[in-house]
Amino acid sequence: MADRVVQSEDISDIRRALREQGSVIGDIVKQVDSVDKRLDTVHGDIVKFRKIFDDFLEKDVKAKNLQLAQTRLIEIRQKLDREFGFYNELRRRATGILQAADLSLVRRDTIATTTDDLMLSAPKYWLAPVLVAVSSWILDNQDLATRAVAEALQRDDEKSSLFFALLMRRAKRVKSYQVWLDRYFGMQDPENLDRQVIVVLNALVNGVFGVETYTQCLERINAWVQELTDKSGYIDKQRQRWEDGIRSKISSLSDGNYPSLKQYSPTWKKLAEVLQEAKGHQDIFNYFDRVFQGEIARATKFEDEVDRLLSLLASKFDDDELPLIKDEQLQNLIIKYDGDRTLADGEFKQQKEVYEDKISFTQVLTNAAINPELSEASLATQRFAIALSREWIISAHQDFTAKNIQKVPTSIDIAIDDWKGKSEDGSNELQLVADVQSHYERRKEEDLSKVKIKPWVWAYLVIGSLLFLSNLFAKEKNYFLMLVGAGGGVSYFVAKKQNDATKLTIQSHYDTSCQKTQQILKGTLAEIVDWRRDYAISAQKSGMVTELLEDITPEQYVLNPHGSARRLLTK
Amino acid sequence: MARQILGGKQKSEVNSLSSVKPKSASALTKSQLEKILRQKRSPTYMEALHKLDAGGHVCGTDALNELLEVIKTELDDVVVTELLHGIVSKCYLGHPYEVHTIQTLGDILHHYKVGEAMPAALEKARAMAKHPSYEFIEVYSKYLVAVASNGSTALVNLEGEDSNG
Repeated sequence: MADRVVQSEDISDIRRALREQGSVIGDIVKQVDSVDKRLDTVHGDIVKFRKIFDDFLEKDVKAKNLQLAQTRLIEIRQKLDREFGFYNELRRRATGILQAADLSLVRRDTIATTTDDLMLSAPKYWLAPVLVAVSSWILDNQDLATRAVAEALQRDDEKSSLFFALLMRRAKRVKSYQVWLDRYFGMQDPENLDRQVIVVLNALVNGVFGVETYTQCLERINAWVQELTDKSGYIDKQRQRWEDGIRSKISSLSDGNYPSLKQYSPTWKKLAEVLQEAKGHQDIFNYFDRVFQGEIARATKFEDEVDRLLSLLASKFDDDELPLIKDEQLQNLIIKYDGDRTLADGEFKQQKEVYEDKISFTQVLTNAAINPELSEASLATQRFAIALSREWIISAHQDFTAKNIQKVPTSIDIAIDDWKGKSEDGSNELQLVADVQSHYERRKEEDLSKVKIKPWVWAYLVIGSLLFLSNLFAKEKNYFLMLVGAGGGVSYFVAKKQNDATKLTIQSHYDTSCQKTQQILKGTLAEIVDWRRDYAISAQKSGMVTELLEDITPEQYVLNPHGSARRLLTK
Repeated sequence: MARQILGGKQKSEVNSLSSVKPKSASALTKSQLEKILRQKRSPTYMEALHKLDAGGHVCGTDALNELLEVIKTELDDVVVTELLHGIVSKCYLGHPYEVHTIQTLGDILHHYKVGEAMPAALEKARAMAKHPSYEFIEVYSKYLVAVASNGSTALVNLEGEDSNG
């Protein structure tokens, strides 16, 4: 075989080509890294976009709900005005006639004409014949008064009887008002009361009735409570009603607290729920404490007090209007919560019982205590209702407290990146930090073990070395084969250099991730310590609620009758 | 029918609980059962349970049987036999002991260390038992009854709330 002379330029070309190949591999690795980073960025952007989109959708739905509620509210009010507007005329005149008669400022003919007109304009409404009876009484027309009373009782016996009882009380005709009140109470079933029973309670606790009647009323009420308590399962329902009631007074947890737990603990939902409930003890205490703070404002004139009750009875308890009033309240709540149906429906659910046409006496007490404005209970009635229900509220609150304590998670899960751990109270920080370290070491080792010189590089190195060495010591050297052989060594060193660089990147990546995770972990553990302390302090306040309620007795919260200088009942 | 008027009293037609003596716990309605479980615990009962801590680590079989008799007398016999799994309370033996349990089945008294696993049925009461508001927790198949130092009770329905009946 003839000797072949290999030109030095040929060798340098091959060397250059191999160097270029090395830098191309380096570029590819960089590009893969860059693509990886871009993918991370794109993923982050998608998450952000999703949040923006979800927020937009939520806002849009809320805006539409709000708009719909505003429109609906106008429609409801128009319908109320159209269908029941003339009721308002009668309602205004009910007390107007009495006050005019008190002052003797209106001519007798005018009173008679007015009530005749009202009677004609409201063919089925109970208040129309009541007003005719009132005017006939003022005008001393017994025959007409008797017929009007009979018609009023036929249209609505309960409301008319109660109206006449209050009217007679206003006129200070003791025997008459007792007869009417007896008639009213005689129709009552404590399991199925009309909503206007609150008027009787308002009258009772505001001291409108005389000593004898008022003592009898209290006895009657106690008998109702006893009767309901004795019924199987009734007390459980009542306790549950109170638990729902006190839960409705709990405010939501502020968003800014415990950011790390919120982000890195799968247990967060439960933690938030139990902490909110525990903090609720303070809210519940504040609610009841506020109710019992301050003096109760009462009308200076006895007549004004009764007129207020008469006006209330005439205006707020007509069942025909109830569906529309109920719907009106729902729309009001949607507007109050800026179109958030979940919040509006939640509060409406709590208030729903207020709008039931037939309710039990214990339900009347709950409504008066929890939703006094909607159930038309006065502050005095609210205090009385709470005092009378004290045992149930305490029991419901004790159940609420026990359920809350039972739900407190013993250990709190933590998940950062792909590391998972648990802590009871943050005291195992050293152990968890070490666990994070070993977790990332393990992952690092796994990834590093995958970074290997490829078999073909090894094969090329071995074959190339053999070629190179065999030619190096041969008498007749084949420089081409030597060059090819040397290529094996160059490829090996280039590959090794790349692997070293990749290993450094992997090490740096895991070291950074490990440090970051350890930092987040320490922050999360610190929040666990704070959370446990926060919970313990909040949960301790349950005792305050019990103490506050145990100090209340119903007798304390019944006002003296107007004109009575002595206290009727003492603790 | 018109009802009794002012000042009148009506006689309840509902039987008092003490007149109900079921032969089996399943014969009790949910409401009756809850009423039994909610009864305020007597000072005798509270005292009997306190003796556990005073007795130290070991409690004789006789003492335990005596305690179980007190429990059965205090609560309904049928309810205790059929539904009570055990009682969990704070352990005052000191660290590492955390809670102790009395299991009705086999009359077992056991003190548990921190982190030591308890039988699944009783584990649910562990956090409550450690809470300072309660003296001990009675564990029933569907309920936990938390008893405070004055004997007052609070009920946790383990199946969640539903309609009462």
